[in-house]
Amino acid sequence: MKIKLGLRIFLVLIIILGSFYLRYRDFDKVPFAGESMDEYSYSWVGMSLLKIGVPVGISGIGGYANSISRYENIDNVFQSTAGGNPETLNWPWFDHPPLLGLITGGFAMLKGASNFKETNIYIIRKPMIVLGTISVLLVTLIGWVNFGFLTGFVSGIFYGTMPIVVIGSRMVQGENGVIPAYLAAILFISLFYKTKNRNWLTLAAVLSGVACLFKLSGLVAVLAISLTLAKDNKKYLGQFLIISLSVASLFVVYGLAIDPIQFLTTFVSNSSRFYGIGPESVFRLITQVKITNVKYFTDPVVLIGWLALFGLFFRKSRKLGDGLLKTFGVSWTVMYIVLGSYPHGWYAFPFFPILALALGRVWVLALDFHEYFSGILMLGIAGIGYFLSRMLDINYFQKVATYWKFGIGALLVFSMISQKRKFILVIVLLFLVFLEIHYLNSITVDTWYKVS
Amino acid sequence: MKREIEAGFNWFGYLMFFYVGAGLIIGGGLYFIRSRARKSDFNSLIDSASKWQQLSNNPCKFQIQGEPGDSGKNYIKIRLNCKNSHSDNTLSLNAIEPLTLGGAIKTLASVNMFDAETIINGGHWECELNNKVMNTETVISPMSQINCYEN
Repeated sequence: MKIKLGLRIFLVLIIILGSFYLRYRDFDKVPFAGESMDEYSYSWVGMSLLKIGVPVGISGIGGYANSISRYENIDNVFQSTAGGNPETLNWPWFDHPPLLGLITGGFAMLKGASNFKETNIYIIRKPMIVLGTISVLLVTLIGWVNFGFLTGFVSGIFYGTMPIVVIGSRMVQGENGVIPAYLAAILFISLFYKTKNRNWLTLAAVLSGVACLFKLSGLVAVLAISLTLAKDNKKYLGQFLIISLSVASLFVVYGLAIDPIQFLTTFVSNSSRFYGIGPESVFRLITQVKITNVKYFTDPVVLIGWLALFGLFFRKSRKLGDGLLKTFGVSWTVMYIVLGSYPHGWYAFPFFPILALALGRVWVLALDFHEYFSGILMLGIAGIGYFLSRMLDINYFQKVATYWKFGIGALLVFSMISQKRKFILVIVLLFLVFLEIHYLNSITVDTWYKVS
Repeated sequence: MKREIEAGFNWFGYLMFFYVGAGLIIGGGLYFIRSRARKSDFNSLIDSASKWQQLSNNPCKFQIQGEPGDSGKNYIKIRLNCKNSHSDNTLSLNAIEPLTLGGAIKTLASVNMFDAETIINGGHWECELNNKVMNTETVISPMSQINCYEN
């Protein structure tokens, strides 16, 4: 079914506006301010860099020559979430590159903030809403360029409405800066392969380097695109590496310009952090979803996204898009294992665009290929069932249990024998998205503590 | 040089231009910012109160939730006994300057968002350590239990 360009753009706009609304609603209330003090720390780094030319922030790494303890009680965090320990401020702070802090801290200063206690959560999270919405647009475009409009549309819907993504993307964490940068790199490298225009390659290289200026794990873009080019476009590999690594190395230039000894000391300490994620890190990555270092947030779309990605791994395909999804999936796993330390929830955030794209890909494949139908239907039912269980008390569910068990049973049997799958897949998709949005709307300040 | 340009791209030239340019921009930017910064700006950043936060005239309105477990035995407990309520707080000594009752009250006031002068110079408050009346210059030691009473 050919969809006109005007209608396509309109549908993309609907996704963007809907995603923005979901992210903006209660953005300053959920997650609670202070559930991760990193949010303030990043902003303090940017603010101090812009005001006094020295980055000051909270560090969990030893080896800093300068440190001071302070109760920075913003947003009443010491009356709620922060616990009783004062913050230990270190300087010059080199735990992570400063780009995210420059954005949120700089934005706070534009809004009138002049000291650390004025970097309130309702200010510093606003740029993250924009970055999160841009990420939704990029996922949609990547799917569109690589697999066709329908896959882009479905992937965009998933990424725009996944509850863990909607809520997690509000947080001022380095990963939420890396995501739009590496997604842009994927988009540009896809365009390079389609058009053979080297300007796209240059842009992909620049954005890959920029991803590293949010957090060093942004090297994933350099790794994954290098692996992609090494397969069939080796002659461009040199150009890509020189540009991307030179941009990424701006962090080193910055560190050496401020304090070379502290920079190198912090770098060494950073690389010998306590490896709290342990050997079961990949298992937990797939089976458990955290949003902070202590709070779990079960989102069934993440699990079915993983299953969809594994489905693509087992499928033979020469499409660039399938290759990119697999390469980025593996590359992120490498980064997660090599650079991981404590099991913070936000370390998994960069996987979610890949999972959304994989889910969109297999969903649309199921429209064309009957052999995918039953599997996708089961994934959809798994997600629907989980969200229903959050909405309906099990005792109340008994009123509809008969319809559920025989209805779902009949649907699955029907899926094995009937060719009429497109209508069912559309209905299941719409129902799943409806339940995601309903679940998101139920998460408020008063119900956040129940989420697990 | 011309042959290199004709062949493709002068990578050495690109890298020289890039790093010299980046060094000038980053170094120049830092120099510009630091030359305008004053020594007091650092303290102002970390110690100033928020202009958007109104101070309460009730010292017992808030209390610190949680204990400074990372400080080990380097803490003090302060209970503020207002006429109709009280506020129990445990403060890490690491965050108190100077290590006097006055320093502790000012730190507590900045955390619980009340005006420290209400207690320090208000004339209606008296603080005790081990049943001995303290003044703002009294040095505090680890694991002290301080009680302040509103008269």
